[in-house]
Amino acid sequence: MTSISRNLVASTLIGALVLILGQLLVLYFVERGELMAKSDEGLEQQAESLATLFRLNGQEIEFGFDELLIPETARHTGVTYYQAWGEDGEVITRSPSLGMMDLPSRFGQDGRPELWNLRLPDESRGRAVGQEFAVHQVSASAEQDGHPTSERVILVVARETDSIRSTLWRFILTDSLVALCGGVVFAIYLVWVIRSLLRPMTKFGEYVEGLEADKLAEPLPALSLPKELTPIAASFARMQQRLDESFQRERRTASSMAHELRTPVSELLTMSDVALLHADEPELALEYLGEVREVALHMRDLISTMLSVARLQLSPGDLKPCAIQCAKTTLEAWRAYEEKAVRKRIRMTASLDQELVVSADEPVLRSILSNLLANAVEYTSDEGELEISLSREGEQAVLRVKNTCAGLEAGDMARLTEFFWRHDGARSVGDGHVGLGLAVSKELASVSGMELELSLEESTFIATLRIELDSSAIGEKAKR
Amino acid sequence: MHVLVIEDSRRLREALGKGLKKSGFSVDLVGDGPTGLVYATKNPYDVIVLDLMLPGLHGMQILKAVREKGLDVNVLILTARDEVESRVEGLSAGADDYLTKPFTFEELIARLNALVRRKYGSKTPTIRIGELEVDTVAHKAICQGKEIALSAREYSLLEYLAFRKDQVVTRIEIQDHVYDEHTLPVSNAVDSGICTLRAKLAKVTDQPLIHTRRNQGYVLGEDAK
Repeated sequence: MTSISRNLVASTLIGALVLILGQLLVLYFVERGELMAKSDEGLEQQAESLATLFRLNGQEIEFGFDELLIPETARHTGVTYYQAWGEDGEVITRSPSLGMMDLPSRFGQDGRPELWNLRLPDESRGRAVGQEFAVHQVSASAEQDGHPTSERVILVVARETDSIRSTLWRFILTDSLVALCGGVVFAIYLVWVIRSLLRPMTKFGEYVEGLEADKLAEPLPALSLPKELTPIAASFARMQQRLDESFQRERRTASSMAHELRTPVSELLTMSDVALLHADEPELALEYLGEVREVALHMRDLISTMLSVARLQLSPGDLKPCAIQCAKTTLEAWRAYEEKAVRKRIRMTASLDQELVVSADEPVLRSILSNLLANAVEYTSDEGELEISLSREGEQAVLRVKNTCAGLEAGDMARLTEFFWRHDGARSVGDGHVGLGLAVSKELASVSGMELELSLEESTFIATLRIELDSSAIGEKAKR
Repeated sequence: MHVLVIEDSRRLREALGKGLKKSGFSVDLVGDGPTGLVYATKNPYDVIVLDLMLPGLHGMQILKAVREKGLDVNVLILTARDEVESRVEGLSAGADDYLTKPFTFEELIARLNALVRRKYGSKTPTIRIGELEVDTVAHKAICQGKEIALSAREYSLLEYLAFRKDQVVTRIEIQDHVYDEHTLPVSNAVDSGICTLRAKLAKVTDQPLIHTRRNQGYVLGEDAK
């Protein structure tokens, strides 16, 4: 499992390590450059000092070496090599350290010294400087004797550079140790800082972990969250509210369902008990047996309805949309309730676009239409008004069922689609109504891609069903 | 004993009515809250069987109205709501008993009998008047070891007189507590019932137990004081 603090510590430490290594590398090269420059400077000074020891005496170039005269040589701890050549290329002198070996004869142009790396006779790595300079006659008589006034001499001085490398390594080692200690301290500090910064998140996590379903309605406690976590906390609070509403809805549904099941079970029990009490009156006992059967059938229907909705929710793939003449299907559904509407002297008006062909699963559409119309006829008061309209709005067919219905309030609209919820006034309506019709219709519509909206305008209840038009029908309409 | 059943489920209401009548109760049936309130506050019932989720008016409001009026009636709440809070609320508001659905009819009858006994201050289920024993649980009248064959209405009349033994009981009281709303007050159902009961008692005992108080009513007791 990924851990923000672990990842933060690891990535920061890796970043810091790369930075330190880079810094060490840069320091190494800078230091190395400086040491080499100083070494070269020393080497050049040494070569210049040695050059002063050459003198031309007549035809002979003499070299008078004295360590006291060349303090740079004395200061240098390693072995110094030097060799000098005359104009004719003959070796004038060489350091005893060279033995019989030669140094390369190189020098810079125009009197400038040339510096280069080389392998010394003892196979160690070294640095050499070569320069050409003039040696002048020391006595005036020599010039008179026809000797040249000056001779060119090539001098090469070399010395080992291992001491520079060891100095550099000491430097790198010291720096690395300092960096390592610093890194450890930095890592500890980093862990502490990250843990401190993430503590509100940990607390938030603990709060979420310990949040029980019955505490969802309680507001989020003050956790002094940082700015970055505030939007997450706000989103969580909104989700908490939605969950709470959903749980409340579930609880209400469960409670209503329990109530709706307890009542028919009570009916069954009481009617059976009373039928047994009247065992001496077979006609009455038979009458109750019939009633018991009716209740059992009603319970079966109720369970079947719930199961079919649940089945569709689980596998919406079972739906088989086809082209349906919506007006015709609506009128067919209406026929089942027409008689009751006449009996209640309900004034019904219908305005249906006969040409609209919709795409829907036919049993589902019929079930929704049946529920909406049954609901409208049932809850419209005697001599009330019922209006059914079907029209096209964009790519949808819109069916509206409007009926006068006293007692409903705007706040009831959301609860009308809760399973088993019934408005107080609806309880006085005949047997068989348990508050499922609109809830089932809403679920069926939702599962099958239709939209069902419920609204209230003064005392008129409006159920609006939006159904997708069949694509072939849309094409034909467009052609016309 | 006169019972009012306020229950919105038609089937349950009617079954309760038939069963209670068969068990010797006189019963009035109401299916909604507002009518239930009128019945409960206008008529003297022994027990009201009250559903809570009623159309028009919640059962708790009916209970509160009954208690505010100080009516001497026991109330049994019969509801599908089985939460502890609901029971506590109902009993705290003045209900005498609380029974949740689904229930057995036998238990309802037992509870109603207990409430009736409580109303008339009887601790034991058997009431003795001389040689006569009235078993309010078995709904039987026994005299000298023999059971007296009584109809439900006759037993109910005897039971009411037994609960109020040695007290003068007026015809109106008998009418209110033994007969339901369908028996007209002007009918001579009470006198006729008393007459039949006397005749049946006379068959098993020589001791006159039901005495007439002229212009007052009747007394069930060993002596005509």
